[in-house]
Amino acid sequence: MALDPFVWLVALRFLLKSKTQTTLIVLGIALGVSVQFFLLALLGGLADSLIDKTVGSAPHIYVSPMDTQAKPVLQDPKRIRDHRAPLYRENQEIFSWSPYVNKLRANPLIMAITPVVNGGGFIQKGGANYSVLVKGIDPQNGFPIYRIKEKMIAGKPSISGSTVLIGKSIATKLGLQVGDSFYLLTSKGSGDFLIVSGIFDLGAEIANDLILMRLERAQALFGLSGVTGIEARVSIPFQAQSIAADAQRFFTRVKIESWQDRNRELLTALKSQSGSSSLIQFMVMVSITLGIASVLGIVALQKSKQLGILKAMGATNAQTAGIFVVQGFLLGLIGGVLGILLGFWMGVGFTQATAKSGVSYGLAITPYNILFPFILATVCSTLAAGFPARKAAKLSPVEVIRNG
Amino acid sequence: MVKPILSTQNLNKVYPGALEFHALYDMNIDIPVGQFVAVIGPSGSGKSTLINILSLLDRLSTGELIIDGESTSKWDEDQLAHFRNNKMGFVFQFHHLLPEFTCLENILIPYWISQGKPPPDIIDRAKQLLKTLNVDVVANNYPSQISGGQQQRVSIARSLINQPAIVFADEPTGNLDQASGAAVVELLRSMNAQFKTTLVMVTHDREIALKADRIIEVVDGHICHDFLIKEIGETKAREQLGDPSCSNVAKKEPKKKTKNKVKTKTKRS
Repeated sequence: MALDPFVWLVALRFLLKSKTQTTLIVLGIALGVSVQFFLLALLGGLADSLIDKTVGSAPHIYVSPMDTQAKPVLQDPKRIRDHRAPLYRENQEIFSWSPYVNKLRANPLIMAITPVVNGGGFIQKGGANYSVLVKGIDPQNGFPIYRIKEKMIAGKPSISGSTVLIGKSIATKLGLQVGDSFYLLTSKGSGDFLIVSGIFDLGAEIANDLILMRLERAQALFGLSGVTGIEARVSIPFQAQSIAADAQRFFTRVKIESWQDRNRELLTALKSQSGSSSLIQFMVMVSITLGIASVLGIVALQKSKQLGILKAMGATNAQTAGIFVVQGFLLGLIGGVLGILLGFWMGVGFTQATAKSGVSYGLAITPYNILFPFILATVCSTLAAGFPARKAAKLSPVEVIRNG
Repeated sequence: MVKPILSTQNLNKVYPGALEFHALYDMNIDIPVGQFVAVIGPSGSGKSTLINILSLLDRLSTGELIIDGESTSKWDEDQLAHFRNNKMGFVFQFHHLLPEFTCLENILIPYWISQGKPPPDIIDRAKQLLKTLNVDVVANNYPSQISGGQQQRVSIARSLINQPAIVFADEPTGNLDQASGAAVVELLRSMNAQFKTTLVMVTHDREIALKADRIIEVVDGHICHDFLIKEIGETKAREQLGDPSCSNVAKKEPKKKTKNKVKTKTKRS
């Protein structure tokens, strides 16, 4: 039925004959599809950009000592509690970190993993103290986590001995350039002279207050023999949570968290945003479907004379119904294509307008975002044609012929 | 006797419902191949109901309709549609050309319905029909652009495209002026002679009916007269058609009795 060329011919002629009606309903579908595509692409783009800012140049999985908070030394509640001293040194440092690294590395989604030493410090320059974060990493595995090579704005991405990389904020605030040296005072009271070999820009302000150095150098500076954590990057960021949870089951002495665990609010906001957009999209689709069903219902009435005559001449019920199903399909198809183009145009206009006001993010033009509204519109309008199609199939040629 | 292409046995039509209406009573008709039959009768007599049943557009209630030696009572809707498309042609009172298609395309529609895109020889056949019917100049015009007489000629061409065994014409002249009407009947007559097509025409016009081979007069759902014009002569035929006794045929038959006998098989669609 659906492939019967006769059915297609009549459907096409019916649509072409009532040009105004066809144009209006195609526009209606196109508007609906464009809104849907626009919402998907825009919100998707916004979410991508937010997530990229959050995890684009940051670790996806963090392994840290189970409890960095101070615990009472003695378990007996009647005794004096000493909140200053931790129960185990192990609780602040991870000494034997290789089991964790090996366990996580076994997962093929882990792209890079490195033990880190995190600490705080000050740079003293010209009588001013500037507070910085210090991170000791293994450059080979650590650079990919922060995408350091792509984020360099000056100098070379290499660290060794006393040469370090510094964030853009430190460089601008202290006027440091590649080759300059500065004095770093750690929170533990130790200090040393370091040389800037490169400057990076990770995007976020806080991330640019960072000094990257070799792991061993950081261990020496902070007087540690273990590490303070392990950081990893995952090829599919949204898998981080399940990878972390999976690894956590094997270890009790460390806490394995994902970026999702650390950014719950952001994810909740994104989730509720996509939820409300789904609701809008659903309503748009319902209104398209109802619109097509009612318009084609009217067409079935308008064309009942033609349908009756076709049936008298031997068109079967299936062929007559097929004429409407094909009309619905064609309307959805044409409306869908126009809608995607219109939505694209709207999206580009919108992002350009927001870019002018200083916020820039791209549209998420993914195959899903294009095909989903397009296919949905085509399917909905084909289904919407079911009601007039049934009406057409039931039509009796005798009545039509009698009444002229 | 020539084998009938179409034959009815005790054909009855009852429209069921609260206002049950018995439209046709025990009709027995045999139409031989190639005959030109005029069904005549006043409006409401049941002549259109009869032609709708004979042309498989409507279902009979009881009795039998045999076409081309086959009983049609067990056929489903698709079989009926297929048969109408292959073996029957239709000419309607209001032309019923599709306004979305040109005249040539309208003629080709019956072919399209069952066989898909027409090959060149079928298009040639359509063009030839247009020429025979003297409307080849309007082949590429839309129906709204041509006169009523031309439209009816195009619809006659359409009825012949699938080379049907039998053509049904329901008041083909009803919507035309006298001259065009006479010309259309002449055409039907010559088509009947040329293509050996059986022709069943409904009309309320006696002069038009007298152009046929045979006249069946229907009054109040009964066959009142059924004769061959050639056999009884045109003068006698005119007399017969004017016979007032026809209106008594219905009265003679006790309606209630018949009604009780009839068991409704199909719903009025």
